[in-house]
Amino acid sequence: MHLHCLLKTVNCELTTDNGYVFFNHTPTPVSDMPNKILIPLYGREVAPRFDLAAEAVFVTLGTDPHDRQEKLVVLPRVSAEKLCHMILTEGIDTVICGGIEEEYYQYLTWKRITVYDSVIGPWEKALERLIGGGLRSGDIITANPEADVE
Amino acid sequence: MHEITGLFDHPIALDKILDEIPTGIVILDKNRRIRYMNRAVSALTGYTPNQGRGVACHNIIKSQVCLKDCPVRQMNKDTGSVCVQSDLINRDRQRIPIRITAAPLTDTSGELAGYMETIEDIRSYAQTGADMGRAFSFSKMIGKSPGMEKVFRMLPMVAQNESSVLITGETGTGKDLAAEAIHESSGRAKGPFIKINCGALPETLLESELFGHQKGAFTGAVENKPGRFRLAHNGTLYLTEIGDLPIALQVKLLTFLDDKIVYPLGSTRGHEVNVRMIAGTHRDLEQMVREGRFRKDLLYRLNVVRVHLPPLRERGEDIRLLMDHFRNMFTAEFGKKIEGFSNEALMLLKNYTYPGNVRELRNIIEYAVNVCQAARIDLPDMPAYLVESQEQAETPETRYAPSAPAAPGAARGEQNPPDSWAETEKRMIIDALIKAGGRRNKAAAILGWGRSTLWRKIKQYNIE
Repeated sequence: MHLHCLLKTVNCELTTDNGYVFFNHTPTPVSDMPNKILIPLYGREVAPRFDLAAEAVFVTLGTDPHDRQEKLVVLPRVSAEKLCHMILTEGIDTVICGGIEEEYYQYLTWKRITVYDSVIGPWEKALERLIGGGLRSGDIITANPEADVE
Repeated sequence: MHEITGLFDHPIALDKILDEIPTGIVILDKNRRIRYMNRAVSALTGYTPNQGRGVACHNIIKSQVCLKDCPVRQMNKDTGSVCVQSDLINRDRQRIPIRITAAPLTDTSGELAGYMETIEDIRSYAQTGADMGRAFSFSKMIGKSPGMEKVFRMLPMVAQNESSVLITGETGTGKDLAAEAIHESSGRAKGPFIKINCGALPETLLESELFGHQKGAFTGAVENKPGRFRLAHNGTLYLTEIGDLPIALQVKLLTFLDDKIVYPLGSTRGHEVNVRMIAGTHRDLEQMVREGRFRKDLLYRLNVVRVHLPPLRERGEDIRLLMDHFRNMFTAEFGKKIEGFSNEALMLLKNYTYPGNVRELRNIIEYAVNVCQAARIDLPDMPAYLVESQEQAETPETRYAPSAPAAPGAARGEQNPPDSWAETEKRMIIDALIKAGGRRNKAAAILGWGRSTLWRKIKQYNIE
């Protein structure tokens, strides 16, 4: 591959100045807003346990906050490892979950995935709070008790 | 602030009492939302009582059992307590093994008001369990002979399920210890372990003892008695000497094993109990069935998993292992400094037949440690009957005839006078050689020995 083409793929430009050669790297603009979110589910709630979730919802956000795609997935097996693998292969950048073991939390954050853990409450309200920029790990969202799983 | 009224002259603060209890306590309403949780639960889960109030229980406790099979979900006002082991993940992202005991709460009129759960951190028990796995032992049982290794391999597996267990073996082989070991290693370890000797009580008393009675059921029944089955709820019931259980009670036990409901004497109302059944006997139950003294269907129900404990005379090297174990145990207990056994005492103990098995060996060593004044246990420190039996056995007879194969689990010691270990070992070698068609490799494999051990023993016993 030609050097210029190769540099373009990594957003670098070759310039010369007084005989010196410079690589100018322009990093890809990273939006603060999450793009792909995964929430393990227990009924309509965020699943209390990451490792025991049998369902999950994938949310893809567009440029307009109201324009979002949701995909509900029934997981083939209840397993924290499988869920981590799915998060990586699906290109998820944010996870909202309940209790998660340190080992999996560290692994996901090491893979540059933002994890909001120990979140309690209906998943849609948690998502709204995330989009509004107000979600924190450990949040308890129980404004409407009827929404909880019986 | 919650209050208890009626206990003292003035109302007292419930929160302060519950906060001082080191076990986690959660009080739930009828919808399984947390009304109150004490300080121990806060420490365990990482949520403050204020954060937990009004939240569905499974979101705070986050235990596996809450999500898969909630113990409270099927409870009503009449349900007894339920005890389950599980784990939780707390806010510090730690997974902690716990034991949950749940019970319904009723108001003064007996109507269901909510539920109470106690949550215990069992990390320390789990570590104790790891310590139990020391070499040549399981729980309090010790041995390294092939027979005992087989038992040690079997017991942890048996402990993990709920099947009924039948433990057979001669007197003193450790049936009670095996039953306790199964209970201690099972999920019911924190629950009660209730032992009943079926041969120790007359039939009428035994029925009341096992199944309980209603007030006024018979003369002298001045109050309700729950019975051992109900006392063993969420635990294990060990019926020792099951062979001595009267036929009439065998039928009642059979009914209980089928539907797990206890009907106390004089009561028409049954109580559902969750009990694991272990039975033990030194009798040959198959023989008793043939003689019509034990119900065949009860035998089949109890005999789901059978554990046979070999007699000490068939355990070879275990005799030395147990001798040293008991010597260490009693020297520490009595504060003595005894380093070992003289050669004569060693020979006497190794060649004795032990009709009372491990219990007899233990008693012999306890006696010897009590009596011994020197650094080593010698012949004069031994019980008199042991030395006399050696003198009587000075005319050895050599028996080369192979023994007839015994029925599995049969208590062989009752039929024939027991041989010494040396004689038994010699017979075992000859049996193995016959079975292997003279091939020493195969015979060694049958005996669970190395080839060189077999060769050495063949030389030692002068077997041709």
